[in-house]
Amino acid sequence: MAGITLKEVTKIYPGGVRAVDGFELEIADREFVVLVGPSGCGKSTVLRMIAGLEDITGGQIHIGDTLVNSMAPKERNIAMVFQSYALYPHMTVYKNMAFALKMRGVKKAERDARVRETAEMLDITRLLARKPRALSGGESQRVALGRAMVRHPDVFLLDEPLSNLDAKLRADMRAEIVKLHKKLETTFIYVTHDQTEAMTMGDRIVIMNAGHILQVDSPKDIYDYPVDTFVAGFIGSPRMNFAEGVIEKDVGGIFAALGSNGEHRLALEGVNATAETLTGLVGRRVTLGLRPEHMRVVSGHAPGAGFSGGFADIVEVLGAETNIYADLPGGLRFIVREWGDEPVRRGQALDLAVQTEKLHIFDIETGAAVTGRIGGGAR
Amino acid sequence: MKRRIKERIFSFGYLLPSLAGVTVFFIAPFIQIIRYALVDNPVSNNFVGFENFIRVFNNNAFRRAAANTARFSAIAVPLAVALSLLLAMMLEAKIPGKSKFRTFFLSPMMVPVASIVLIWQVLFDYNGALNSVLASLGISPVDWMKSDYSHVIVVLLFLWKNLGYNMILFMAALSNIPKALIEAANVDGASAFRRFWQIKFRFLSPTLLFVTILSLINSFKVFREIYLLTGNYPHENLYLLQHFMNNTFGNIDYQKLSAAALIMALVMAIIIGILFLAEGRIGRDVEQ
Repeated sequence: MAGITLKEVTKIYPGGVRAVDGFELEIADREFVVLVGPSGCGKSTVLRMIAGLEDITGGQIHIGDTLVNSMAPKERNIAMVFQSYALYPHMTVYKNMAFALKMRGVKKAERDARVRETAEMLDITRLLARKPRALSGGESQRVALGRAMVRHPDVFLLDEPLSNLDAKLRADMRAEIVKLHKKLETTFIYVTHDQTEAMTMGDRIVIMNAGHILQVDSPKDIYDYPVDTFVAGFIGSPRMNFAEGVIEKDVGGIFAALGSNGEHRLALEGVNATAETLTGLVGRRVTLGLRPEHMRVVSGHAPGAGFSGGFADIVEVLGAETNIYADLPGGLRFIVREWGDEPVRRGQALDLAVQTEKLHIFDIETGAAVTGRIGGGAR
Repeated sequence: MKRRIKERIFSFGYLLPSLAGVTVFFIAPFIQIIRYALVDNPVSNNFVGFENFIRVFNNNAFRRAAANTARFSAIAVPLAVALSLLLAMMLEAKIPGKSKFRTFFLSPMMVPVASIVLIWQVLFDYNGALNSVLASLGISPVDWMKSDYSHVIVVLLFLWKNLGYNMILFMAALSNIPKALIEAANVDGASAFRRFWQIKFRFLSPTLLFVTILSLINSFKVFREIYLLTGNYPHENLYLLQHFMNNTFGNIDYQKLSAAALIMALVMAIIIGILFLAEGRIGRDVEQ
């Protein structure tokens, strides 16, 4: 059991590609941290550097109090679950699980006890005599987890372990891995490109892009207070709606004018920003962000609290929810998520009411959030 | 039903050209050889049973040739396989100038046999380079190709000629081993030696088989180099089965020649069969 500290960790590949740049993160003992980002963002490289499968170009990695920079993988007492499962094809499930123990010189009787105990826990006892090619995807996944678990490692590293499974199995295994984490009381670091996995599994989520950390927060805080347009767009499905607008002020207060000719006015009352911040924005162009579930399809709304004159271009009925692609005057197009029955039919006219307190404002150049959780400025 | 027959006829039609070639140049001569081996001579055609085989077995030249060939293959083939695998693994590691090394080891393949023989002659002839170096050190010259060393020299020649190609085959096989498996073994705490034996070796087994058979065949072909170096009757250490066959052919003793050829084919078939069985065991479960 151990926490992990990464200080200024950098990976530069031969040829000068900076895969990871100045990565700073402290992971507490027994924490479940998810590294998430688009492919090529460096998340797997970070995991592999923690495992020792990849050299570190700069910085320090501590597991517990030990500096592990130059330690071989086997000295780090970590276990890794690979995307391809990487089960040894010529060994039975039993031998696959016992392999690491054997390499460490664990006595045969204890090896046997530990393999059987773990197999019991994962409900794979009946598979022990089989070889990997006789296993289904889900079974292989369990065996890969079991192989990592028998060793009682300090840290579990999981590299996109569910991405080869079908959707239903993936949902089951998601819950199961979370349960396993609770039971094993060990540090888990989990890499995925799937935001659903990130949101549902992690105590904390680390969002990466182009080798950098963009935000480290609890799933809820990432969702509610994304630090920039990248994070805002990456987490959430359907993704957040973005639109450019100008912050203006008149007798009624500060508002945002949206649409090509400023057809739509949204009063900025109640947004997560201080009055000073908002005043400072007056006259400037910004990016506005609104999540699909923070708008409702209505007919008519209070002045300054929505968009009028639109129509439903596409209506996707998903059962419990419905996604409506609304086209609005001024070239705006928003996705709105409604719960329950189909509220509007394709081609039908509609207005949209907005929960302005859920509105996000981003700097148009840097993409950094102006709104934030303390009610003022980006964090 | 009709369609299936039609398909059969078509597929047979596609096979026909190569089947004809194989029949004319391999199967028919082979049957002919079996016939020759069982008669007293190809003209009178009297059946004599295994008499020709007994003659071959009792022939001193054949025994010497068989022993030499077996010894040569037994030394040269394992060396060719092991050294080329070693080279491939060394070149797989991240070392500078990798591609130059690769070219270096491959270059003997591009050199025609006659040129190779010429180089070898320049080196090992009685008046060759090696002897003049020895002379300058005050050591008396050796007629290398007519000494007991001749066997070693031919093994060296064989290795020099064959290592490169074997190495390329092994490099391709090594790069096909799933990287995650090696990494998993690494995380699991397996030493480099264990990673090789427990993981890589399994995945290499089809290539090992292929390279071994190829080297075996090439070791039989080394006759060409020896013949060009030393002619019809080399040092008794270098008198190989092909010398025997060549000379028997020169004497127009078809019966003896055919019997010897059949014995050789049988031995080869048995060796290759054993290799296939071994590969089947080691490589089981690993091949996709």
